[in-house]
Amino acid sequence: MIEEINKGSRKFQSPRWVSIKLTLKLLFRTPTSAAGFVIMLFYIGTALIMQFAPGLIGISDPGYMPPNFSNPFPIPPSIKYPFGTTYPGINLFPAVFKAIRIDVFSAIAIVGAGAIIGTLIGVVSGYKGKSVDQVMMRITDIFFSLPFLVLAMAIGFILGRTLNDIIIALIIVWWPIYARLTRGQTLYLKNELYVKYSMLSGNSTIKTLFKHIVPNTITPVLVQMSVDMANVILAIAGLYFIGFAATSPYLPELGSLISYGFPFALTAPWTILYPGLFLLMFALGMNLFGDGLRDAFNPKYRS
Amino acid sequence: MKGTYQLVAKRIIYAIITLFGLTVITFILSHAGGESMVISTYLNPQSPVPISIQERNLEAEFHLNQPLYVQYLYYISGLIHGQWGYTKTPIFSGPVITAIEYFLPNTIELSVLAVLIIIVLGIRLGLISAVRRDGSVDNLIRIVSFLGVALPAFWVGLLLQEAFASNLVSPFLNRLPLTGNVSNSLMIGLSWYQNGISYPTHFIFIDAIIHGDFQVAASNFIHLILPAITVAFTSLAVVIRMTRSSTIDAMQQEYIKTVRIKGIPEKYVIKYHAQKNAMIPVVTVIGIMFATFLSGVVLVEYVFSYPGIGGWIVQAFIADNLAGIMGANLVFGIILVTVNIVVDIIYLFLDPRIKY
Amino acid sequence: MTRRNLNDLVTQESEADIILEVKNLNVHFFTRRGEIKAIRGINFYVKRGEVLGIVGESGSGKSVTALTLVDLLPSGIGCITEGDILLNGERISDTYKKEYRIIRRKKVKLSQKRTSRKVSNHVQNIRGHISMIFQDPLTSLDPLYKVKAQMIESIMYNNRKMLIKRILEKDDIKKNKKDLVELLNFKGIQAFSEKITNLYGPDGFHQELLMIENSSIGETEKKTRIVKALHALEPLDKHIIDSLNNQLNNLRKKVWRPNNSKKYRFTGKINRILLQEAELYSIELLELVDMPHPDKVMESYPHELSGGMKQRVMIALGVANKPDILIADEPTTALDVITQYQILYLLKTLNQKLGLTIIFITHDLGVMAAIADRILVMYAGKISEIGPTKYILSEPLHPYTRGLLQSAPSISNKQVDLYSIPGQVPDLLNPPNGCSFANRCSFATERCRNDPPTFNIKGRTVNCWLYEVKENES
Repeated sequence: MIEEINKGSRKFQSPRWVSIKLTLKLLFRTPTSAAGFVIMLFYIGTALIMQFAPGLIGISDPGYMPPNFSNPFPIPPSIKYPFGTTYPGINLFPAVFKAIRIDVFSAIAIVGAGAIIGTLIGVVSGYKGKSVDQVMMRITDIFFSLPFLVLAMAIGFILGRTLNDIIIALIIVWWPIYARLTRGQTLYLKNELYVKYSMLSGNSTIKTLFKHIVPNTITPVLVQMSVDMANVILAIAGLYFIGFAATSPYLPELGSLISYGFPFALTAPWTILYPGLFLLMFALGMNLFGDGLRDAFNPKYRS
Repeated sequence: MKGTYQLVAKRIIYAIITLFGLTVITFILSHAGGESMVISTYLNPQSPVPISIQERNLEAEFHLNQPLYVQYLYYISGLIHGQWGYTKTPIFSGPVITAIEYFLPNTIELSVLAVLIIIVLGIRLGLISAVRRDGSVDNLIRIVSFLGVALPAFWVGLLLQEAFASNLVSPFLNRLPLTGNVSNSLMIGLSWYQNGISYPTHFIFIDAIIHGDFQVAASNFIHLILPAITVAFTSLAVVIRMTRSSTIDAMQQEYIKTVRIKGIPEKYVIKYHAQKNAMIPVVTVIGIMFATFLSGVVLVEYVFSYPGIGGWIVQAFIADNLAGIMGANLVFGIILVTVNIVVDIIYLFLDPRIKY
Repeated sequence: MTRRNLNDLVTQESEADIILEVKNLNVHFFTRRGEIKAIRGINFYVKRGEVLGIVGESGSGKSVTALTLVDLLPSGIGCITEGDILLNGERISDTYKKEYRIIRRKKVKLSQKRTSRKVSNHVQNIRGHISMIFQDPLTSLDPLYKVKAQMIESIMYNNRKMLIKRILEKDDIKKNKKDLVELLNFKGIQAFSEKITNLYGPDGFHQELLMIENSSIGETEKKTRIVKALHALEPLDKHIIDSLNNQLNNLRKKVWRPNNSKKYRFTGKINRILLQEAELYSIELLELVDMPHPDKVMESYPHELSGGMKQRVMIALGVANKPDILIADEPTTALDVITQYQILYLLKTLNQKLGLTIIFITHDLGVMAAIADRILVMYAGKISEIGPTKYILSEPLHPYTRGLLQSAPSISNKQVDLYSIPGQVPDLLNPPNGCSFANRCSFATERCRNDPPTFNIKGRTVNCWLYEVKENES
């Protein structure tokens, strides 16, 4: 009798897990989004390896690109230097991987913090409505009225030029997007029946917010986060390229690498080619992944 | 269309509020560095008055010992009177206002060309992509649009410089210049071009045509091509995608069936009905993507050594010049707010469904 | 086996009466999930001047039938794989079987470009003869254009001949105004109206004249006003008339092609005159569909009108080019009951006054009862039963029809439980062999494993084995 029951009943799967599996399955449906996913894994994997076990690929000092002034001019790619070297004698091959670690983790930090702050503000603003909402909207309008690079420069000027300062500056620049996004969603969800039922059955506002509204705003936020990873990394690279990091000269960063190669671009193209390629691949991968995620969440395809 | 004037007025008021908010931010940021920072902003290195006396005057003028909100009022009044501080950078030293007068027209020239490319090419490609959906053309355009979003703007600029400098591309294209906005040799001794500012309109292209000097105009235009393409590339991707998805949406609407049943050939169904309806979300997107556009302008101007506001703000940043950064901030903000207002107003007039 | 019976039926009616004939129509949709057999061999005909109602539940294929008749199937996805559609004896359908290739993994690709170009050329031929109105009036009109623009678009594009004729006739009036004024003064308004109708047809009336004639003022007053109006009419310039005649001759040469290709944009003096005339004609159309304040409606945008008004505009658009058949695809489903009644009344009036043949598609039996002359019941892509309304509703033959009628709740019999036909509609990806209703039919037997033939009883057709015996008997 017990065996019958065991055979008869299927293994219980929580609905969240089922929907996650469905999302993964849909992600791999098109070759582009599968490629994006793979690329993302590659980069995050590289960053993790560099962070915790850099010795695995023979790198000893992940936070620093040692310059070699005895041989400062760029050397074309060879067996000894697989990607060549760039201006102050920096070996590009390990430098690129060190840079990936810093870039990827910074991007994750920025997008993650921005998303959390932005979502909280957006949901509260959308839910409360009236004056709170209006004030929030005007504030985000102000942030939207400045191109992000300019604002980042201004904030960076005040705060300083270290990596942490850049991260903080970019977080400040980036949260309004999430606030706008979640506010719109919240306004729409506010009128859904189950929210009203939740309030009627006595849940406090905070509980309703977290249990009902936030989970339903996650899907567009996740899509936006993946695309923003690409944008943020381009922004970081851009800032470093301009010369933001005057205080930490040889911090490995893809943008800095490109800036070192800038004067030599015409004669030594590999100096800007390799860092740029890795930058491009990451941005491309995240964009493909974000697109794939958006299609996977599209209710039309989930049936 | 009823009550459009009320809506327009409302939008303008919002824009003014946003502008004030902008000044608040610049104010706070400049004061975050401390009082000495604020004073240094307004110090005029070229004035004959010795610095200590200047400092004292400025302290009195801006009431720096008063609480912040009073200072803010004087700050605003200073702005309105053209007192934006003094800047000292490798490429320009002097009052910020003059710097803006010097650099802004060039940036506008560049932006106008880039925006033209984006609008014309972007909408056309998006339309083709939508009509020939899932065909080979569509896939090609989509690949290009993905690249556009993922490519770093400055990298593209560098690559383009390289491609056009070396003999990789044909010898004729080799002559496309790589830096600056006009051949300096041509500009020597011109009556209408002094101290880097051209008269009467400050726009070199227009003034050259007014004065009949087509060689200068052509040189200016040639210098604009590469940077404009670079800047346009990123934003192009966004416009193409938006146009594509919005046209696909429009083509699946019921009224397209009604129009088809009238016997109108497919070409006109798309041109007069699907496309027109699809344009409405696209216009909104243009306003939003302008922020990214301007950031791209900054990077590209730096790479191409183009004398525009973007290039100047980078220099100010490197030179640790607060006045320059704040001034450029304000300028960018004003541009963006203006563009957004214009886009909103166009949107109001395009869609007859908007009611007061 | 089946077609013999249908042909017998057809020859019983006089050939001239049949306006539309559908023979063994098969429509398949080629989607990612597979080949959906939406319509699997239907045969029916439509008599001139009647209202044919097509009833069926969702998924029975009634909307697809309508779209196939006007060739509006989504290009590249749906196509006719077999069968013919004949309009007035002329074949107007194209089977596209040659156009698709089947690739492995069950993906079917249609050569899109060829299909769509073929469709649009073909469709031009059908457009004027069959027109259609759709279900949801809220989204059926382009929100960016005024009603005036949308109506003129249809008329200018399809029917320039008529417009030019009207203008020329009115010009005749202007030329002959002296005679007409004399006629009016001496013989009175009655003779005047008769003369105009005789000479120029009912369209010959200038709108002003029409308004004056229809207004309720005294005879002498009317006379003076008409005389004034006539005097105010200016005949057109000679060269305009010449070019109009030229256009008319050019149009006469082509068979029934609208004046398409280069000039869709309307510019030029001639076109301006045509546009004015089209506007007047549109206003008359709106009056025909009982629209209050047609001039204000013309100037409004679609979102400023109510649902009923929008549906009227759609009907006006449908009737504008004097089609042979008007297909109404659930036009009242999205409206409230009162507006529904108004629209139905309007359609019925048009049918009786103008002799307009209407194919009315719905799932509401009550609407059927009100408006249809004959009813066609569809189920799972096949026809169950065709017959005159009152017989279908009072003596349903096919078990499915019986089930439908039983499911409709009635106010008179107080039922506690609502009846619904047990079972589910078959999946059209893999439709079952044999009668598609067999799995839900309480009368199903062994022979229902085969497709039932069409049987002809008392002037009605049924697709059910139950009536085999009776056929042999009768």
